[in-house]
Amino acid sequence: MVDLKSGKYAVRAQNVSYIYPDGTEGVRNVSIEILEGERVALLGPNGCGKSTLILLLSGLINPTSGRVEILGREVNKKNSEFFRRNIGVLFQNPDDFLFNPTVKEELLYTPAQLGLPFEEAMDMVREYSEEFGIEKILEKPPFRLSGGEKKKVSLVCSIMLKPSLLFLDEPTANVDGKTRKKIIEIAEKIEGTVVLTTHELEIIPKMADRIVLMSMDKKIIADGDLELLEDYSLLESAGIL
Amino acid sequence: MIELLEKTAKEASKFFQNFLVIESTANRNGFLQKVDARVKVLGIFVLVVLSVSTFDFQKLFFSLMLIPILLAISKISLKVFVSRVWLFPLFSFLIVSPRIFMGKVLLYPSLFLTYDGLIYSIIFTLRVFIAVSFLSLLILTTQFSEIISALRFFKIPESIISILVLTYRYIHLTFSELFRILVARESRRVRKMKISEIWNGGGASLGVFFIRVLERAERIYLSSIARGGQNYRPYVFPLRFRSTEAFFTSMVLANIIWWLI
Repeated sequence: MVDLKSGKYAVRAQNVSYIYPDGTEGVRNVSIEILEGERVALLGPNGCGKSTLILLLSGLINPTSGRVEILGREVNKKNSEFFRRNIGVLFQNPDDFLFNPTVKEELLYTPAQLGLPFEEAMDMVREYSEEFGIEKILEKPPFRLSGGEKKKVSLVCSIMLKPSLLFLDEPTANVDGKTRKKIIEIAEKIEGTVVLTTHELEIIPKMADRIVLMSMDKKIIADGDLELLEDYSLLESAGIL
Repeated sequence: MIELLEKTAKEASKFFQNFLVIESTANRNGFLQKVDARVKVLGIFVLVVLSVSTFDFQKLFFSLMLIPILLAISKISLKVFVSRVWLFPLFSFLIVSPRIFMGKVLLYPSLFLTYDGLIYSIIFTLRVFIAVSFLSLLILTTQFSEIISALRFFKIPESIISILVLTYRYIHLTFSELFRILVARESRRVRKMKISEIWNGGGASLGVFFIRVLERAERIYLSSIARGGQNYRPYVFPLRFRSTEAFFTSMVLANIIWWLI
């Protein structure tokens, strides 16, 4: 069962479409409502628009048509600081996400942008780096880390400020079993609303309680609870199995 | 020939990927590493200005002697240092080398080498070497965020700082993308190709390279927005002036005095 906090909407998207500048269709006429405290898994084959939908629902790109409301606010420049304080986004490819010279500076990046005092930020860096076992790589450049380490650092960056709405784009892709276990553990502990994309069906029961299924024509074709995972014909027709 | 070109491109991309990114030297317990970044940036700026403001070898000598001393006390190996600076003096010597044949006093009349030209070229190259060496010492011993904080402290225009930050952020991305494309091309080449095929393929790869870099840059821009903002604002620490800063300042002052007398 969905354990909802207050019954308020974390995200509402109505008839949202997005077309990339080169004419490629990102998503088509998508409507979705996510309540605060829900943990939603976006499922779909490669190229169905999951990552684009995450960018739209996190307010990072504006829809070509339709309307998106996040945490009760319209997506516009005026609200961008509020969104950045309250929304965490983990990108699919850590190389897109990590751009500072060292891991320590990666972890300090968001607190610095948001004006947190240095000592407070460093306390957070120490606490999180110890908890996630990255304290030995704090001075290393992120692009010299292994895939699993990059993923862990990215995840820590996304959750450090305890966002009330967290988007995880394929959090367990391309990592070893130990790192996957750790990431699932972390995700289970996260309080607030979580929206994730994944191709790994076995991790969904641990990380989500609602499933939204997308198809290759960039639309939502099913929306329901974990029982959807047992509808093999639906999953097969959607190109997931 | 084309293999040589590809190898050169690969080596160049490796060189530039590593040029601005130093894994360990900035965190060593060395002398320059301990100096406050603002004092260091100002001192290095003065040293660079002094070294490019004269053609007098005696004046340059002091700066030249300072380099190995700073390297030693900052625990930076000669190998690391040389690998970062050798290209610049070599390139500047090639640029200035036509001067060898200009001037009146001929060193070797049959080769048209002139004494004046040779001295000019050597001193010019030496100036470049000293300037690049000081800048390398700054980069090797200072975290990038500290350099940015120091530049903001000195009220350097935000547009210049932004260019620096963006260049730094994207230089690795650009060259790592180029490196990946070159390696991928090499891994899938199963026969010796004709020159025309290689040029056509190379042109296509170059196009792909620009598109990939552009798209990656857009994703990085979005991720920086997602993480709080596009303006890089590292923490600024209170200015320190302890014995290390005093010693470094005295080194710079000694160089100024040497230069003036």
